[in-house]
Amino acid sequence: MDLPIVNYSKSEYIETDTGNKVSRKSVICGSQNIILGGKTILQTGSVIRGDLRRTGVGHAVVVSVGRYCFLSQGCVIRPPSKTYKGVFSYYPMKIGDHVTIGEGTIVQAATIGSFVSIGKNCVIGRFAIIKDCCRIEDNTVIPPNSVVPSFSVYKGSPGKLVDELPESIQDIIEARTKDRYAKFVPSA
Amino acid sequence: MATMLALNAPPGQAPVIQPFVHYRCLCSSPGPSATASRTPSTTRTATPTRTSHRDDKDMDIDPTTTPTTTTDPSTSSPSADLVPATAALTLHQQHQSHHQHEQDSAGERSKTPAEVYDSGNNSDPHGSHSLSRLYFCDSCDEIRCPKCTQDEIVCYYCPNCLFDVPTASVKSEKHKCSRNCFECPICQSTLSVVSEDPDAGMITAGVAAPGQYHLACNMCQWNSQEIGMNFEKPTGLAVQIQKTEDSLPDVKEFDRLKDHLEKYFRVHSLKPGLPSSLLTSIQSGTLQSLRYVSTSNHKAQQSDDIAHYTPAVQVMEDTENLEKLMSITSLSETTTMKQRLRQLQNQTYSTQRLQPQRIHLRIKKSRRCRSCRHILVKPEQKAQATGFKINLIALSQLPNITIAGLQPMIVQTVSRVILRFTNPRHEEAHISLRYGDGAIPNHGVVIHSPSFTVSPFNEVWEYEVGTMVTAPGAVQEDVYERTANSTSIALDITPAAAGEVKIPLLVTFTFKSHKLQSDTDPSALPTQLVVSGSKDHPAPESELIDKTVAFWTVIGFGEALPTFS
Repeated sequence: MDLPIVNYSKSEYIETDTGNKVSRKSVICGSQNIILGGKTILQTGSVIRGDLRRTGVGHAVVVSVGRYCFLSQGCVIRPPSKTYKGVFSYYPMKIGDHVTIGEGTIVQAATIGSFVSIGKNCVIGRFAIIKDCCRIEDNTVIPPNSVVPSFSVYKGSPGKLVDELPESIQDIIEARTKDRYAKFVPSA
Repeated sequence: MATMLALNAPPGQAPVIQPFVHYRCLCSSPGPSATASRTPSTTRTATPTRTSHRDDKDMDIDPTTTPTTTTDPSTSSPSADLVPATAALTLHQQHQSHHQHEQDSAGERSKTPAEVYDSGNNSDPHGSHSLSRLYFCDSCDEIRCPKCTQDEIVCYYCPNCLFDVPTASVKSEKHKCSRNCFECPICQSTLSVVSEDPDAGMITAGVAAPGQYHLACNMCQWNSQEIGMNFEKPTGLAVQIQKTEDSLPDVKEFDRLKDHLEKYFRVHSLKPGLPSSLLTSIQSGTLQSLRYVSTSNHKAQQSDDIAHYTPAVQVMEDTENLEKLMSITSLSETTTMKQRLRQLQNQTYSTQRLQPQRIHLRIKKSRRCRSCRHILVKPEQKAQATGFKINLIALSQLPNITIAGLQPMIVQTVSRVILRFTNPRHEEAHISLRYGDGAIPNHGVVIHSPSFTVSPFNEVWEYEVGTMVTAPGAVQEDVYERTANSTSIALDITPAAAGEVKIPLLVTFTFKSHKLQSDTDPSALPTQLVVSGSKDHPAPESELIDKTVAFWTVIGFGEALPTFS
């Protein structure tokens, strides 16, 4: 089936020059430290903590999000933190293109590759690395410091490999994220 | 899109019957085992002489993989008849051998639509697949599913550190990572090397304070200090752990038995290295299971002179362990089945004796067509690369059918359904449809435009979302809608009975293709990797020919409700 057309109220969303659609009801902290690649949608109640930056350094990119990403309602993106040599610090996070993050999911990963879909109510632990073309099922916990290799499907708590994705997944995800962006339109 | 929907929906769990579009691969319907009309390919692997391995689940010897072309009688496809039996012996084959290949039954052409329909339901994993899981072999011009392709290992890599492991060292390292990657013996998540901070008693990751290092689980808070495991330095831990692994009596015994049997395997004209790698991959743990293999199985296969094997280690009856187990009051004191199976070398009952395990390697696979031996999928060699050198996925070669409009199904009431056919090819395609009437229950199906064309795919259209394009010249009066590279047609469905409505539909797809210069030249094939520019300027010697592919699809429209009366 085709994706349904999603109408949003024009007053709620701000559209940037590069086509990002950011809800006014989302929480964006430290926006000068956040990069959105373009055509990325931030839904109501999503949180990006760009203010949690590395201590002592000047201006730095904290969270970078690629193109055609979709941050669902109530998801939280916060950079990972650790104490290294006795100093507590936050570290930058990078999210690739065509990434979907489900509702209520908390992400503290170090890197999320491109063509990744993360389900609802997941917890992606600190410094986790999710490579390209992966799927994290709903309600999955990815432990801190773990690695999810490409073309895997992870599920459970702790998240385990349950399936592999077909070779066509990149095309499918790309088509879907583009289709979803095209169908996310203001209500008339 | 329906293909995506199928990916998302967990099988068998959806309370609502979802609409779907599935394509049928012919391997699930055995072809006629008549005389072969095509000469066997010379590149085929040698037919294995032993056939008694059929019961070995790690091997898949499939002597009669004979998919046929779904050619409509009217079409003139060159590969109209069956492909001769291909014997394919693959290790690491994940699929169970499907014996239905061996059945002798009617070909697809003589199949009644009811048969097509029956095996094409949502829950049948063998019959039909969503397009995303299928491949299209363009030398056979047939759909291939994961079952009728043959996997080959491209490389081994560790799923945690993502380093390539050279094939030569995989065996000696027992298919496990020899770097610093370990999994928790309790919860199987990745362990990290931590050092103890002498001042604060806090645990800090990485190379920090001098002192002892240990492994800690970030998930269940298991700590290797619990079992008294500490390390002097944070690197090269795998060597130390492998040492303790190798000193276990069961591992020693296994190696000895392997050495003992390997020379017999070598005599029996199998590929060198094959038996041992098979055994290593199985890694049968207990002595009991090994003895079983050595006595019953292998003797049965090779009824000749294997010298008597005397075990090196005599395991006494473990009365101490038995008593311990008898006195256990809580199950949490014992290991779970999963934990035990994760450490086959010593399947201990005591959680105190669980050891951190080195992480198992994963593989990258390439796929071959089982009939013509052409490569369908070839990933890049490096473990971290996600690209493909060759990727003949069906999605980039066959029309993608999606349900663009759907009215609720009510019994004995006409519902309008819109099917959209998207052409992924760079050439215009012609599609004709035929409803497989005779299916039970026989829903009333009216296809409003059973024959139509679909415009070619063009990257430029990607940027003009929503633009309606009507191909000039080709006047098509009764198609429902025509956009960039897709054509939508209308179907009127009259459900005959309540329940899930799904119809078999024969799709005949005709497209222009470059005549292949040589069958073995994959660069001439229209893969998705071929840039569109090369299509605009085809090589002068290549001429366009019409190719026709016919295949069955099964399209589900959800559940039909009983008539309101």
